[in-house]
Amino acid sequence: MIDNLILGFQTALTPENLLWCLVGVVVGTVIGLLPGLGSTTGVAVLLPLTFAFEPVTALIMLAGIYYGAQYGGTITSVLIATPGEAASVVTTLDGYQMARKGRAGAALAIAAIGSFVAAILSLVLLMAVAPPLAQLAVQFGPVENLAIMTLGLVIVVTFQGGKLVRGAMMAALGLLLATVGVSTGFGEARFTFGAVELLGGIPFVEVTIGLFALGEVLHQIRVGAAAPIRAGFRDMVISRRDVSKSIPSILRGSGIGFMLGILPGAGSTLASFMAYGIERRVSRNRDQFGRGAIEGVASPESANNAAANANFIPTLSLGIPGGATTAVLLGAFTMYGLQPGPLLFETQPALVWGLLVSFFIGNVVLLLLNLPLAPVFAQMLRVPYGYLYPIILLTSIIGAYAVSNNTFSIWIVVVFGIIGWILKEIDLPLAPLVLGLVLGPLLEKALVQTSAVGDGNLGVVFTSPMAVVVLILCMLLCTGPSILRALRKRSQDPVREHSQVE
Amino acid sequence: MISVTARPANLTVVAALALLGAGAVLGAIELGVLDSSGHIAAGFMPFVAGGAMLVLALIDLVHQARHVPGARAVDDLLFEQLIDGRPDTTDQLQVVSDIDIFGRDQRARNRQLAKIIVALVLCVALIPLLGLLASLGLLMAFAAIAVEHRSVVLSLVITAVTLAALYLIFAVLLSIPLPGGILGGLLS
Repeated sequence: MIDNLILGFQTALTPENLLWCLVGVVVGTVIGLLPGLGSTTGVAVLLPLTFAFEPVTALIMLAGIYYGAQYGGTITSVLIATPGEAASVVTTLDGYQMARKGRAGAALAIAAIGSFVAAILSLVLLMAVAPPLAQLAVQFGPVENLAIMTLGLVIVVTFQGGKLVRGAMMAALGLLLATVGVSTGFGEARFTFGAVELLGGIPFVEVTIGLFALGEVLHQIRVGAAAPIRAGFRDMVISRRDVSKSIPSILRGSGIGFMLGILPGAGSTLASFMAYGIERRVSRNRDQFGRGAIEGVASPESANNAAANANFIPTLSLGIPGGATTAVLLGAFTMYGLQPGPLLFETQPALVWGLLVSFFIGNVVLLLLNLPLAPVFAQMLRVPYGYLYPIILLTSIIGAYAVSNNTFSIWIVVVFGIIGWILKEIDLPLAPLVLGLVLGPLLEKALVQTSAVGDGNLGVVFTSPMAVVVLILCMLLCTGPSILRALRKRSQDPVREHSQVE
Repeated sequence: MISVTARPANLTVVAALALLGAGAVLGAIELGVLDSSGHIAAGFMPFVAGGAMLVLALIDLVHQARHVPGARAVDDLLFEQLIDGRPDTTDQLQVVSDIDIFGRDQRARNRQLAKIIVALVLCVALIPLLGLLASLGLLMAFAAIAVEHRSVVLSLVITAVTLAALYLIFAVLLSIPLPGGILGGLLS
């Protein structure tokens, strides 16, 4: 462990990696705070820019964008009640109320402190958990891999709130899109309709740029913009009382965020909502929730950062993305010729540990930047969107072209941009689609191998205790909430009937 | 959160997804779901994914027909759960009015959106003729000047600076050959 950490520091502390880590976190903060841009969009659009870099440098920068965006997303939630990141949606509830009461600075400061503490705690846990998990995963065969990938899909679908059917439908669409092109296992062209460009499959990065960057821009044009609340440098001073009040919330948020982030398919958005919900129940100050309670900012902000880091555990050790942004990062690994998964820790120790150590450095930089400079970043919100979105459009289009030097890529971006906008307008979730698209080829490979292991009988899955446990977990996740709801309804009905009689 | 869950649009998109699923199932059967020895064949995955899409889309259509609010966002649902029993909280949240800070109503924004989508498609269609950078420049200038009604001079300056920056990054630093189109060929 110590040797690995030393190796990580040696990799992360080179001038080049330090510089691009700094660039990544600053760009990530800006991307996170701009409505219509999020970490997934940022990583997807800027991925082509990193082609000239060493893989470790590129991944350090892209990961910096990811966790930098978690900090930036808070600024818009607090100042204009418009979250730059989905994970910051719940921060709007109390953060914006604090801003309206002239406490925008305190909200931004506690969010930065909470995010930092959560990031450091979760990184320590990440470093402790990921390597043993990877060692365990080395022993997994196709049967276990199939079960774990199914779990990833089930988690992302079941955590779509009331949209279980729609989430599953989008995951199926992602899996279906992943089958386009010549399949590696069979050598047969599927659904290409004679188009040579489709033989290689539907390009993942271009689809992501279309769905998230272009789709978001079109959505933002439709919904319009809100005016920001000003936050000054003087406002950033936070009282000792505020900090001491927030410490338990930060610790609880960090724990919840880490536990949820570690699950393949569960993202930081869910973690932030869950942390807020629990905080509202356990806090002594619960009456103030929704009216500007500082704990209502500290807890979800800690949770979303802890989850963002914990998301790297399934991504790095199992090769299964934790959420939409880690799915794009997984795509980036593949583009650099790296295969995320259990063997990555053995074959690329400098890359893995350099990346993990860069998270520490990046989070220190983010705290130093965000604590005093959040009002400066907030000035970005004053750039008229009328200038901003054409720049996003241009960068997205040219970035997509750069991936494959092909105009067909641009058509993919435009088509999927329009599809992404339509899906967003009618509230069809995009995360399961992206996860389906990423997991599709891996799932099919595992299916083919499992079929071969069982000589055509997929029931061989039930001979592996580990796979059986994972599949039972999948079933519980699918049916558990409905059963609990039915039980709760049954226990409430007699009370309701009784009160109606009265 | 603004949620435009217009029923006709919802029904149309979900019905289209159901059709897509059905098409995939038929295509998968043609490819072969299982081979002669009972092993998975090329059509297995599209069969499962397409079949799941078809069934789930039909379930969603039935839900919609029964007026079950299955189209709400997770944000909305969780917001409802979180602020359950706190009617005053919703009043404190920012009420997003129909008029944005530039004084545009929903109809005006819809018109903007339509213009941008058309301009985007035209821009990509023009790339073989004008080249990538010239087409993108036209798109940006059109968006800023004609759609957003921003200052002409400032819009042109920002367009030129953006194009120069993109050229520097992609063509010079990353050595990516950007297509010049027929116009580029004539000029060179």
